[in-house]
Amino acid sequence: MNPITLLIIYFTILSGPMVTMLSNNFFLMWIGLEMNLLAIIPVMTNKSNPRTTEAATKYFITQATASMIFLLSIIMNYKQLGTWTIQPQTSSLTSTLIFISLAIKLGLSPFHAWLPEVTQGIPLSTGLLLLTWQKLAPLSILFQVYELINPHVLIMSACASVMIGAWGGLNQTQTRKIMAYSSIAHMGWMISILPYNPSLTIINLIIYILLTLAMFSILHPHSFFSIKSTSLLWNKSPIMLPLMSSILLSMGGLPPLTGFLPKWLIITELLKNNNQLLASIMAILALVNLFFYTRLIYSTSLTTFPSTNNSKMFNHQKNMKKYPTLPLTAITSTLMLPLLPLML
Amino acid sequence: MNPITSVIILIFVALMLPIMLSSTNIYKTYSFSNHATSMIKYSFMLSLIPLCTLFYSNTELLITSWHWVTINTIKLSINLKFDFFCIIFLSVALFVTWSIMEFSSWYMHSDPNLNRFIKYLLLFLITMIILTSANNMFQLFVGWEGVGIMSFLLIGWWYGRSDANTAALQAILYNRIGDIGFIATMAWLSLNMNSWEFQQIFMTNNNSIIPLLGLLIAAMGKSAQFGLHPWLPSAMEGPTPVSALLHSSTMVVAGIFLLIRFHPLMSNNNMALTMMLCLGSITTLFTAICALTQNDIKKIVAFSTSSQLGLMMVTLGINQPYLAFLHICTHAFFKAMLFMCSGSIIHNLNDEQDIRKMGGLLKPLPFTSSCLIIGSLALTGVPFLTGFYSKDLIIEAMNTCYTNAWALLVTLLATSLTAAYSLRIIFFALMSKPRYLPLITLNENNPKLMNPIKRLAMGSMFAGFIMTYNIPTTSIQVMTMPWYLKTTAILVTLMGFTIALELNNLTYNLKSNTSTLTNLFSTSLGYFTLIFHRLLPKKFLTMSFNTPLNMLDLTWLETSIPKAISYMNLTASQILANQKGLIKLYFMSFLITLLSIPILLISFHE
Amino acid sequence: MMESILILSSFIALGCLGTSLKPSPIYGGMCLIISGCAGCLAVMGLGGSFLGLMVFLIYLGGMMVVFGYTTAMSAEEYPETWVSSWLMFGVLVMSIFMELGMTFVTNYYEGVEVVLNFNSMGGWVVYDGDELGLMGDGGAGVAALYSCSAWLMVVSGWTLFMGIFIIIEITRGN
Repeated sequence: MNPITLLIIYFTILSGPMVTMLSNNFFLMWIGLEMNLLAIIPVMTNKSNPRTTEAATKYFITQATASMIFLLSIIMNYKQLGTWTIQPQTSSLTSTLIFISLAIKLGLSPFHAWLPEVTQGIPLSTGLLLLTWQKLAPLSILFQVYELINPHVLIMSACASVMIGAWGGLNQTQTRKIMAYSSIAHMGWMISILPYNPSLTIINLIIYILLTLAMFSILHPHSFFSIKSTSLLWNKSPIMLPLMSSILLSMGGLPPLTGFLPKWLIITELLKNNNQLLASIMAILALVNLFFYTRLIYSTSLTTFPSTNNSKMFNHQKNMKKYPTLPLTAITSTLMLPLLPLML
Repeated sequence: MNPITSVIILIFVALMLPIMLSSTNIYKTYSFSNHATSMIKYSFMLSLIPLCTLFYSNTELLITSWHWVTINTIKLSINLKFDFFCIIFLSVALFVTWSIMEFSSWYMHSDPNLNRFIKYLLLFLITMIILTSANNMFQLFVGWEGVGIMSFLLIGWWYGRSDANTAALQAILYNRIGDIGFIATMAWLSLNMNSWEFQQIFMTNNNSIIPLLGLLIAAMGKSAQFGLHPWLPSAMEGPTPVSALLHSSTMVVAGIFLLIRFHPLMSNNNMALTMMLCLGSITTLFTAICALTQNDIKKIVAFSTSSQLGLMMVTLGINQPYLAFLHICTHAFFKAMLFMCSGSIIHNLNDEQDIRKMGGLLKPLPFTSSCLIIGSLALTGVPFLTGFYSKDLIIEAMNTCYTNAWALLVTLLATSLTAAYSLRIIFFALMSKPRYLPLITLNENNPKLMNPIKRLAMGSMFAGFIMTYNIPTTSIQVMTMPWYLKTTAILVTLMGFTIALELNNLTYNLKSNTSTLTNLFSTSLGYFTLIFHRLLPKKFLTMSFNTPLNMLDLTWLETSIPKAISYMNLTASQILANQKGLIKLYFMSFLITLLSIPILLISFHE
Repeated sequence: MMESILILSSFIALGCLGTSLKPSPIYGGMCLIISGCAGCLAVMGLGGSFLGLMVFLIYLGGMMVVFGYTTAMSAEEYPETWVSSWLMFGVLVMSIFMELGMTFVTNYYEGVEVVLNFNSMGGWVVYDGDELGLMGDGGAGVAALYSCSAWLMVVSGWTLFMGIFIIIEITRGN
């Protein structure tokens, strides 16, 4: 791609969520979302082949639908209240429609179906963008309007997302799909706490982004597309084995690692609000998530795959692409639990 | 001053001395078995003093209340009771054990642990004396359990053999069933009577059947009555001296002795008496039938013991405890002697116990053979031998009292069968031609073998007369009766002899080797062990095995939790992740949700 | 006036229906043009003469060219029409009747209450004197766009530019 084109496109990708986050006018928010949506399409189809095109088309259609619903709801709001901001008087239909449109954008549960397929169709680097940066704008809108959305809808959607994220990923062998389902599950955790304590949503989002960054910085340089291919990691760069294991365990939410932090806080907050049922369901389903993360660990670290190692791998390793973000993200995504007081 | 107290103390000291001293170095040079034998001999002689005073002036003694411990409201004290039963039994037991101890130093001379064996026998005797001299339930229980433990150790003496171990375990397990009854009685008494002293228990008027049932179960276990009997023939796996001691004066008579002690409680309860009568008659007939077809010489004698115990139980059932006690005492002499004679034969035939491989022993072992014949005749109750004085009285008492005619008939049948199996031993082991290996040298000239058998042969001949002549009058028997009632016992026995002789003569003829059902019933001990040791445990074990296997392992630990969770997760995963890649379907699901959520919200919210 | 608006809105709905029942692209394009024209006429009929004109021009100038181009690209020998498949035709007829029924019901009962009040067709499209609204009068709205909401103008302009840019970028092939 032409460097100038790339520059313009990435500028738009970056500025879209910025516009959304900075404005309090819903029309501008909508424009930000549209910018984001339009600009990510050429990045998706960068390597032009039928799969990326299909994925980009699916993405465009779903996101455009979501934008339409969003636009519809803010126009309805404008017709009722004569203002482009969400007010306490906003009707429940409007706020529910806003939530539905944002849920489609985020890939929350009843509207999750597009996410694994789109992620599976696009390159790993774009997948990282899709699973992290693209969540920012919709979540920021949700963060502003959560008080008006019916909490039952939020909770039901969160619960369904956690279930989908857990059980959907159980049967997957493709790393991108696993990451997509993991994203759905994490979104479920974030939405579950939104009616009670939205700042925890932000903490969870930050840690989720860190974890996804670290994970993709291992997956991307080696082009690990399936569990089977990850079993060659010991041969390519052995130092990655413990890193990947600890990052995956952190993602599963094991206690001494960073990933435990949001789960801990969210469960505590849910229990404080007498929502034991949801807390237990989510905690149990986190085990299923942990299970398929552990399967990745199993195939990478715990077993030596029956492949011969005749070639001299040194040169291969030397010329390997390096991810400068990996050390930082790996450390922060596993060892940040002691920093908990700072984040609260 | 009454000499009984000091004599009793001396006896205890004399018996305890070898056991105490066995841990010292004294017995490095001495022969422990000789020492123990002489100690028992002296004890026997000492025990003659109270026996004489009893015979002469009817002296009984009760040493009571050395306060021991008080638990809540129950006072436990050491009470010794030397009454009619204890004093006579003491002498008899010491006399018999003296002979057995001497015999065992011959029989077990090659055993490396002879000293320990002797010590066990001594302890066995001491626990039995504790049992007979107890005047409260607790002390009785100590003796009771001590007898059980010692029998376990002695039956399993050759613990290298699995049969011996099995027999020992069988004995302790069956006794444990009996102990349940004993403990139940103790518990009932402590709850309702608040005392374990015999006198205090007998003073109260009690109509409950529960303690009596408990005592009956206890006696069943210890005295091997029908139902809990299989351990007694199995106990033959132990050394012969053990069998002799076990069957004559200790252990098996403990159950009968317990019922004799508690007779004042039993005598008023018709139901308990009837149960004892029926149980005893079943036991005596069943074990007599079993004895008929056994080929192991010791097993025949063992079944005869069981049959005699049944007879004692019958006697208790017709409310004649003194007669039952007399039968215990007379039975001890000839039964111990029968075992010793068979031990002598077994030892001489190089550990051969099968009577089919004996034969013609009358010539090479004249002394043993004649004593065996004397013992058998005494057992069958031939007039004016020891057995006659008790057995004849029992049959007479049964004939003349208003008892269950069925039980009477069954007992009479068993009496005639006694003659039949006794004759069978004599016929196969002593008569006709030798069937043992020709190279065996037979030798019975050891004084350690001859003396005890000789003493017991004297006892088998005269003890009954001496005892019945001397003991104080207890209950007056019916003195007049028709001649056919008077001669029933002897006639029935003679009939058994005659028929058995005719039947045994058939063995000279060739016979087809098929066994009839009745024969099979007898040889397989009435299928009792087969059913109770094999079939029922197998069924129970299979059931119990299947139940936890199905309920715990298969259902709970496998299907309900792990497999159900696995299946649930798998199904959920398959249902939720069926991505077909069709955007149209996804949008249809979006549309449905999009329509349903606002509609639901509106219809329920406003 | 109301009757004409009603008829025009029916045309909009029919056009959308015809497109979504997906016959050949050429008919789809035609239906879109029909509904677009009808929509513009409706906006003009309600007083938004400037807005209606602008939207009409954009449709004729932009979309019609695009659609004509694409339909020519994918020309079929025997294009699929609505009557090619009886099922589709049945759905079309049924939808038309449903729409007519809906119109009749709203006319007869003087409005239907579903969150907003669909009374006498007016509530949706007629603007009733709100001094804050920018969309009310076409000219006033455009003027305001250049004065008090310049940032909206900038961002919207950038977005529109990006739309064109990205379409070109995707379709040019590389």
